[in-house]
Order: sequence, then C-alpha cells, then structure tokens
Amino acid sequence: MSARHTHEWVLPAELETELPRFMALSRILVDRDELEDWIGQAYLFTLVRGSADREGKARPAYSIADILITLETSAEILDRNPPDPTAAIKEQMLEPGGQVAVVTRSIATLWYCAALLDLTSPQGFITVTAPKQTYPTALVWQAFGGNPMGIPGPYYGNWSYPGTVPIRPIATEPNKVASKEEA
Amino acid sequence: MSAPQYDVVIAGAGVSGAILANKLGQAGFRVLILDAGEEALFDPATGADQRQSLLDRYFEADARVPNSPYRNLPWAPMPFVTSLSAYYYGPQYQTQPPLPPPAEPEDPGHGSYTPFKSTYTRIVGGTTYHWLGTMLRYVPSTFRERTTYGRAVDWPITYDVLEPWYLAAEHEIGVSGDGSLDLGGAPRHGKPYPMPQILPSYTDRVMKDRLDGLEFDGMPVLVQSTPQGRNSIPFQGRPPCAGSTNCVPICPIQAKYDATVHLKRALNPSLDPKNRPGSRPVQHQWKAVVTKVDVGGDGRISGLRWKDGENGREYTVTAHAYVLAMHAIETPKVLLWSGSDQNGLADGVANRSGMVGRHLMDHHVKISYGRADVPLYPFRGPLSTSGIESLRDGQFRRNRAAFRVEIEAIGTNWALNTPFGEVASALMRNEIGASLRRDVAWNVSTGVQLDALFEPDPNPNSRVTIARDDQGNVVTDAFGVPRPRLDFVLDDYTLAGAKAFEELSDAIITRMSGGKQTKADLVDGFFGAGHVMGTLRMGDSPSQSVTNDFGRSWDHPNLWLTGSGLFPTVGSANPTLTIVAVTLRQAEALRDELRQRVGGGSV
Ligand SMILES: Cc1cc2nc3c(=O)[nH]c(=O)nc-3n(C[C@H](O)[C@H](O)[C@H](O)COP(=O)(O)OP(=O)(O)OC[C@H]3O[C@@H](n4cnc5c(N)ncnc54)[C@H](O)[C@@H]3O)c2cc1C
Ligand code: SF4
Repeated sequence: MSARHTHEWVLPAELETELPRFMALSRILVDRDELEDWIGQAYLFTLVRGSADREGKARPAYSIADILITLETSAEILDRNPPDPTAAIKEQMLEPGGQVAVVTRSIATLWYCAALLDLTSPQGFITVTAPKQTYPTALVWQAFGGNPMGIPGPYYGNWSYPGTVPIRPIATEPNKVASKEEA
Repeated sequence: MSAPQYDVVIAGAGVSGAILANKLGQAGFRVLILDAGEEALFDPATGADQRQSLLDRYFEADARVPNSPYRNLPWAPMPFVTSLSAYYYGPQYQTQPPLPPPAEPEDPGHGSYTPFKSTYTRIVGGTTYHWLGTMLRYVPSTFRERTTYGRAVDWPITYDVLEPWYLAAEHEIGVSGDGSLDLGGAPRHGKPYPMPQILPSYTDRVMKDRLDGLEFDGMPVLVQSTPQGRNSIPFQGRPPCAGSTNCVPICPIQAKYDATVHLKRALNPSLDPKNRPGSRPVQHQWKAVVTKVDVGGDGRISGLRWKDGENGREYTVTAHAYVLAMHAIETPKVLLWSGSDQNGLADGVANRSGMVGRHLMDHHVKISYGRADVPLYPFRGPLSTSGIESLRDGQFRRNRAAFRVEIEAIGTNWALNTPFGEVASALMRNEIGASLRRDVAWNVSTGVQLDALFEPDPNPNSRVTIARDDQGNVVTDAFGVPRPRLDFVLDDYTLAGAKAFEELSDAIITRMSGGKQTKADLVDGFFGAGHVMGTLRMGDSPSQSVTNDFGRSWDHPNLWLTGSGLFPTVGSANPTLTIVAVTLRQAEALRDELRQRVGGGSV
C-alpha cells in the first residue's frame, strides 16, 4: 500500500496543515508510534467529508470547527504532558463529553476499524467507511491477531492453532455480555 | 407452428440452473440460459475468475450484509436484510409511501405472522456467491415425516432413492468432510468425501474438549466437522481455503464453491473435467428478466417471455422444454403472474393444485452467546467449521422442531457486531491507548456464539403471491414487474424447539466459561438463514402438489421447476446439497425426456 492515493483525499484548506497534529493525537489514542501518513490523511478526509455512499452522494461527518478544536486541545495536552499524555487525554478530552470527546473517539474508531461507527450503541454499527485502500490496515485485527475479513490469511489451517498475538485477561469484566442472572 | 429455437431454455443461472445447463449441454442439446444479472464475472474462454469488482464494492460498503458486494440492478431489484420492505411487500413490511396498504392475510393457523427475513441474490451465478457452503444431507426421516412422526408430509422420494445423488452432488460441488462421522443419522455407507475435512477452528477444538460427555434430551452433544463446499486441498482448478474469513458475502479466491463453477463449464464445455465428445456450448442471455411463460392450446408451455434489462423490450423464446430455476420466490411469482383469464388459468400456471407459492419456509435462526474463560483466537478461517448435528432427529420431532447448531469461528460477530462492537463499547467506556487494545483483544477473543437452525412446520398460509394493494392493484418494481408479497408464519413448533435450544445453550456456555456464566445470552427474535424453500412442492398427487418427484409440472408436461421450492419438508439442515442432488436426478430425467422428444443429444 503506498501514498499514491493521497491526491484523491483532498482536505479542505483549513485542515491542510493539520495532518501532523492529527497523527500525534492518533499515536496516543491507539498506542502506536509507527502510523503511516497516507492512512492518516484518508482518515482525516473521512472525518470531515464522510464517504460517498452507493449513489455517490457525499455524507458529512463532523464540522471543520469541531475537528480543529479537537486537534488544538490535543496539541496543548500533548505539549504539557510528556512523555505519556494518555491519562490526560482521557481526563480532559473524553471524560468531560461533548463534541471534542465524540471527535476523539471517532479518530480512534477510524484507526481501529477503517470506518466511523455509531457510538451511541455498544454494537457500533458502521456509519461511514473510509477509502477502501485502508480496509486491511484497520488495527482491530492486529489487536487480537485476526484476519481482516476478505483478505486471504497466512496459510491453510492456521485457524486451527492458537494465534500468535498474546491475549491476556483484563481486569474489568466487559459491560455488555452480562449473564441473564446479573441483568 | 415453427420449430422451437432451442431444445431447452433455462431461466436462472444459480446453482440449479447452472448444473442443469452444464449437464444438458454435455448431453449435446441446444440449451439457452437466461439470467437477470448484468454480466458473468469470469472469462469463459479460460475460466479465469474476475471477482475483484465485488470485493471492492464490499470493502466500501457501510452495511456489511450478505448482498453488499452485489449491485442492486434497476431492472432486477433484490431484497437486502437492512431494507426488506423496499422489495418484499405485505402487512409485515412497512409499506413504502405512497403505496396503499396490502389486504390482510388468512388466519395463520398454529403460529403468528412475522416478516420473512431471508434474502437472495440476483446476479449471474446467483445466491451461492454469498452462501456459507455448509453441505449436509437431510436425515432419512425428513423424507418421511408424516409416516415417522405423524406430522407434515412425506416426500415422494426416500433417502435411499436420493443417496446415490447425494454422493454425486458431493463430488460435483467439491465437498470437504470426514466420511467416518455419523452426522445425526444420515448414512453414507463408508463413502468418503472428495476432499479431507476442513481443519476445525481453534474454537471448535476447545468446545469439543469442554463438551466431552455432555448429553441433551438423552442424545449426545457432539462437536463435529461440518461437510462444506470449500476446498481443503486444490480441487478442480480452485485453490484450498486460505482463511479469508469472508465466506459470506464473498470468497475472494473461490476456494468456496459457487455456481460459476458449473456456469463456466456450461458456456465452455472444454473447461469441464468430464467433457464428452459431442457436448455443446450453452448459449446465454444476461440482463434478461423473465416475466412469464405462455401456455398453448395443448396445455404445453409454448414460450418464455423476458424483458431486456437495458431497454425494456420484450422477447419470447421457444424450446421443447422449459426450466424455471429462479429460486423459491421468483419462480412462483412468474408462475402466478403468467396466469390470466385469457389462458383460462386465472390462478396461475402450473397451479391446478393451488399449491404454487404456498408452504414458504426458511430455517428460523436463534442466536445465543456468552464468554469463554480462555482466548479462542477467532476470525482466522472459514466463518464456521463445525456444528452439532447429533440433535437433528428423534421422537421429539412429533412435538418440537429439531435443530442443528452452527458453531461460529467469528466469535460474537452476529450477536454483538464483533469486532467493531468491542471497539465501540471500549471507547464508550473511555478506554484508549494500550488498555483499549487489551480490552478489545480479550473481549473479541473470548466470545462464543451458537446459531441454531430450526426445522419449520410447513404451513399453507406461509406464501408468496403477487403483490397487490388493498384495491387489488398490482404493486410493481421500478421495471414494471410485480414485487412478491410474502406472508410468513412463525410456528409454535419452532418456538418449542427454540426453548430446547435455550437450555442447551446454557449448558454449553456454562462449560465454555468454566462455570462463570450459567445462563447464555440470547439475541431477541429470530433471523433468516437465507434458505428460501417450499413454494413449489413436489408430491405424489396432482391435487396436492405442483410437480412430480422429478420437478416436472403435473399440469404442463414440458415445464420443469427446480431448487428448494420443490421441498415438501426441510428438516434442520441447510438445503443446497439436497438441491444439487435433486437437480442431478432431474437432469437425467430431463435428458431422457428430451432424447425421446427431439432425438437429439449425442450421449
Ligand atoms: C447468507 C446465505 C448463506 C447461505 N448459506 C448456505 C449454506 O451454508 N448451505 C446451504 O446449503 N445453503 C446456503 N444458502 C442457501 C443457498 O444459497 C441457496 O439454497 C442456493 O443458492 C439456491 O440456488 P438456486 O439456484 O435455486 O437459486 P439462486 O442461487 O438464487 O439462483 C437463482 C438465479 O435466478 C436469477 N433470477 C431471479 N429472478 C430472475 C428473473 N425474473 N429472470 C431471470 N433470472 C432471474 C438470479 O439472478 C439467480 O442467478 C445460503 C443463503 C444465504 C442467503
Ligand atoms: S475462509 Fe476465505 S478463503 Fe476460505 S472459503 Fe471462506 S472466504 Fe474463501
């Protein structure tokens, strides 16, 4: 996958110089140092423009003003909290709620799912997909060692053996698979 | 009367139409196959597959549903699970404004009306493009339900009659399986499958281990490899499965069988591994929306009418024999629409019995889920590789539906939209960074999902008719062709089966969670299995059925119907292996009939 598609994802003038700040926030949200710029541009493009649906109509996602405020807020937090601003991002951008929290979560869903999700329901149905070139790069598959659906896997029968990504129990039980007795 | 243009014309290029075309072309007959789909996505000269455009459309789709890789054609719209009411019509579907409402249906009998939720694909190659590929035989008692359990009806043929055709079907499709397994009582007399079993998923292996010794209703609960139309080794020019985890809606490498396998052989017989001297290439017409059949004064079908999807022009094609292979909603729709006062068949063609369109069936699907106490490493292979088949038959079928359980290798994908649901719910809990990754990894990797497919009770009031509003006006699609009206009953028999499945789910989730979860979670309501069946019932008697046991219309001797519409009952197993077995048997009967009639055919 190369940068050759980026010319298709033209950003509005106000966001033309924002890719570095978008990438810096993204690195914290997904805990990765090595994110690629061309993917970032596709996601920033998706965030502001939505994607073309089947009939070719563009659907807007977030306003430029909301995106700018989110990136400015994050830049300040990143400046003030070296070396690891994760907790500060959580406390100052997510916990207070509002549009900044919504846009921040959406940036994470783009990197994880190559799509925007409906974050009002725990099932997170896809509302807008990012450009198709990003599809196999979605980080969710790497998180648990799965195969992006539709991309051929490594070899016949790999599914019969434990995966190579270590999966460790988490401290908190998930909030949505409550047993009927608890519910 | 001028000589017919063809020996046989086949409407519909799905698995049943493609196999018939292939076999009759191999027998040397002049065959034309028509399909509403836009184009064949392969090169008939070489057989090279050209499905990239389908993958591109899928990757870009917002709603990833079975039909999302496929274009909804303006001349042949198809149902989508996310917008059923845009195509299906009836009181169970919200009427699209400005349509007036439909008339109310008859009393449902034992059960209540519910929307029919399954869909199919109108594309050259049909619905097997996005099928899962499960290839089970029905158990013998399914052909004898009236005799064995005092309910439903018997088929006009038995398992013994179909058994050699089942074996032939497994070889035609290319089934991977373990021939030594008893899958709920369908004997195979030591005959192996053409390919070894698909390796079970890691989930299956953990489950097999955890369920060791479990019994339900006096029956053993066995986790067994599912026979599947998916290559475990290279087979007839197609590669082994590479674990793309995308069997529904499209296998990117055609490791999974779809009907283009036979379509290629039909259009270019030299691609058939069993090509015979004297075989003839089948002619084709795509973008051809079949609308009606004409009936001559002698009661025989005298022509088949189709409209060109691009310019709307209507054509009639003639043949010695006519096959309708448009699946179990579109075929009865065409038969009913072909009837008129002029031809004296106001109730529809082939419908003296009044059975056309009746007994519409699906396997209602119930989903249960829970959480294992160890990671199961999902999303790395076929969507499902094993099932529980050992509960498919028993005296309990007098009172409640049997079911089979499909064990998902994609965690709780259907129940919770895994893995996207896990991302969404972690973000809603404000997880980010490393803890977001760990949270998603554990929750995705420990999800367990069981899908039960229930045997339905055939009900005459579950039916396909021509869509009409409450004033009696026909409701058409944008191309001017009637839409189907569907009335569909969720029967008490299925509900009783669902209760049993809930109990079984609790037992399984208890073991999978190491006792941490003793009640399985259930997704509300039922889903469709994608199995459209029962609207063209075959039988022994012209007054009770639409066709004889070969799918030949009782009323019009040169009209043949195909597919799961013919099935009087359907047990709990997926239908397509039985479709192929019945179709192969039918191909031989049709070949013999054509030989007598036209003397043609070389083999
Ligand atoms: C999601 C899903 C998963 C499935 N999984 C399984 C499984 O695991 N195992 C199993 O056994 N079965 C499965 N099935 C069912 C299986 O796909 C069908 O049983 C099978 O495809 C039916 O074959 P057919 O040839 O009768 O019909 P189709 O494959 O639907 O073919 C009918 C053809 O007719 C054409 N047509 C329709 N109307 C017209 C018209 N008016 N004029 C001209 N052409 C027309 C269509 O374009 C199509 O090509 C699944 C189905 C779905 C939806
Ligand atoms: S797992 Fe992938 S390669 Fe295998 S059959 Fe399914 S889609 Fe095809």
